[in-house]
Amino acid sequence: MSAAPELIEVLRARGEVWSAAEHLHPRTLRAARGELGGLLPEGWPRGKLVEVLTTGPGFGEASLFMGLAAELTAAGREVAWVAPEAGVPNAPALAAAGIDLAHFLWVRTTDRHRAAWVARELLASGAVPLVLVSREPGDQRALRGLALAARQGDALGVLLRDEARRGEASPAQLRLDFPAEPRRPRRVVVLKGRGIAPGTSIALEG
Amino acid sequence: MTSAQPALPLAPRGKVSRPAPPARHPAGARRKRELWCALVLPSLMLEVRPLRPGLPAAVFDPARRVILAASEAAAEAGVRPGQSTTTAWAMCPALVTFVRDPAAEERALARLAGWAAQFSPRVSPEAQGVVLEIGASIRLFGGLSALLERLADGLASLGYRGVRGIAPTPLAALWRARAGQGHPVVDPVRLTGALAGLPLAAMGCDAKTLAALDGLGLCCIGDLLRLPRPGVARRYGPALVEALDRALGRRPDPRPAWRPQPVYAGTLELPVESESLKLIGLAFRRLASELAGFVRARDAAVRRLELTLETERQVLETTLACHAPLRDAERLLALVTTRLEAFELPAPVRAVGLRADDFVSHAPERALVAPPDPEATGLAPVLSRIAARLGEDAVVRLALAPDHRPERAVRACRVGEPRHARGMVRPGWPLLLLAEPRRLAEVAGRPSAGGRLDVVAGPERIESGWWDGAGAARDYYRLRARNGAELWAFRDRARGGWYLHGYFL
Repeated sequence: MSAAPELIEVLRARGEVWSAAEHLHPRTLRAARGELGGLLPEGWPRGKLVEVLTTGPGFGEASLFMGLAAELTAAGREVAWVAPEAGVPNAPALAAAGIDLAHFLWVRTTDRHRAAWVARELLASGAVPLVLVSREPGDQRALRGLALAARQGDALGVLLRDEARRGEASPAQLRLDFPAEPRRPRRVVVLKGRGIAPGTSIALEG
Repeated sequence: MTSAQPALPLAPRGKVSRPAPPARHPAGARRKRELWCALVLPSLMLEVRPLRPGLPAAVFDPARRVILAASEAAAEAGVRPGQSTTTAWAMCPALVTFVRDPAAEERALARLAGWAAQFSPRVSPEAQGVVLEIGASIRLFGGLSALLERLADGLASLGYRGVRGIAPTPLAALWRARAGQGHPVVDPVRLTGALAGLPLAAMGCDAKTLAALDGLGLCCIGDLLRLPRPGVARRYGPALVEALDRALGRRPDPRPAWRPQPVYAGTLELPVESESLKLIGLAFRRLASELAGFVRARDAAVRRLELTLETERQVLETTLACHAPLRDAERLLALVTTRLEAFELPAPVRAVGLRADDFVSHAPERALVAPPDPEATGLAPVLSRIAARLGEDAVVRLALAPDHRPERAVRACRVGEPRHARGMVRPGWPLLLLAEPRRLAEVAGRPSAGGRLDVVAGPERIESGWWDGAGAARDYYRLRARNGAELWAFRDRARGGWYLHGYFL
């Protein structure tokens, strides 16, 4: 009986039907790779704040999320980066990581409070599933604001910050620390994570 | 006068009187029945300024020093139109008074007509309001009562207290509105009866005629209709009789077609100079509602807004770009308030203005299965909010540029701007580029950053730009610091020296 195509298929092919089911998201974002992927079998958490601590820039801390960013932008979703004041996201390298620049936003306001406000707005909008923040929000309140906005927009907020903040309390669901050591392969230490023992050390590939 | 014989309301009691000319449209070719709605704003002279409810305010005539209109709070204190200003101030010492501003009223009415054009293409401004033909729009808006409700809500959001009249002719609608008879008269057969009971003042004729008619002992339009027609025409001029004919539909009442303005420009003077965002926001709310009606009437949406804030010394101007075209009053207002919150007012504001001249046509809202509203979901609203507060360059996109020099291989461009990505993809480059290369210290000819730097990869030679005066002859290296961080640095082959240019983030 099904020789004729279903009406819904015809309409869908013509782009005249908007189906909510296609826009429902799984609870997590994929693309945590290697051993870290083994630790986060479902991928990066949605609607949460993830904190990555380093003693300075240059530990591959943003690269952790480039696979996810590439997947999202390829699917037409937006990714934003609140870049550090002195820096510019290096477009040729982003493109090399597989990111579609047509869906990549660079937040380049110089003021710290404004940057935090923009990050909150983007996270809470629900239109940007991944926001990387390389600007220190400052205090606990600003940090909670980010976490809340991530929950509101069901987005992943990634805060890249200085290791000096390690002792401070944080609303982040996952806290990762890159130890200051030259050894290869690099490793990352989980300071806090759901179902992961604090202090678990993971070797990163490459 | 009963509705059984409405045909001869001005019928002579005896002799010569030509009957009014027959209707233009014979019964065979009957046009679709017209229905007109008049919106009259009795307090317009007061409402041209956005008043906080509860503020005792009044408008007066400076020549005669007489109160012309009083706000509700002032009326409660005993201030009445016709009182001398001294009496009014004695009644209510807190009274805020304004001189009447007929030019502002006229502009407000023109904007009201522009707003009303969303309900009907046939709109014409009147002395104290507008009339619009709604017979053709009833079905579109889901019935007469639904349409009237939308009109009433809309008028309230503009900050006007209006009365309405609905009748088959524009004049009859206007008269009924002035008399406060809001109940619709749809059937032309009942028109004469519906007008007969109205006071003569509702006709809006001049004071002299009104006094003369009053002297005859006439008090309502029905009384006037019973008088012999030629006599009325001779004594009070043909205009009066013609007006009656037009109101009753015996004479056509052609109205100039309302031509929409190409630009929306609304200003509102505040009742008092103010720095209060609440009051300023109230004024912008009215303007945003007007603008929303204006764009709906043209089936358009706004792409760019200009705000003006006038202080004693200067006029502050600011432009707002909408990332997605807007047509909803609330969203327009939200954008405006976001910008206002970021604004530092140097002085109290005395007037505000909103202007829009950049429109795009809007797809109709009648799609069967509508895709999600791009204004409500998606990226555009949040980007508009951010742009309103921080400017359009706060959040940008990146594009590749065809240049080998890293600082020129990336270009920032506005969201939504078309881009031509004709650049190179560089797997070996770092994710973060420093805006300015930073000189590195050297120890024994090798770069150093708080310790030795080891070469992980490199060199990658880049020689470019000798033609534009910003030439680069560099060898790039990926370097590892003692703490494990990886840097991107180059040795300047032309001038010597090591420079840090990025981080492998």
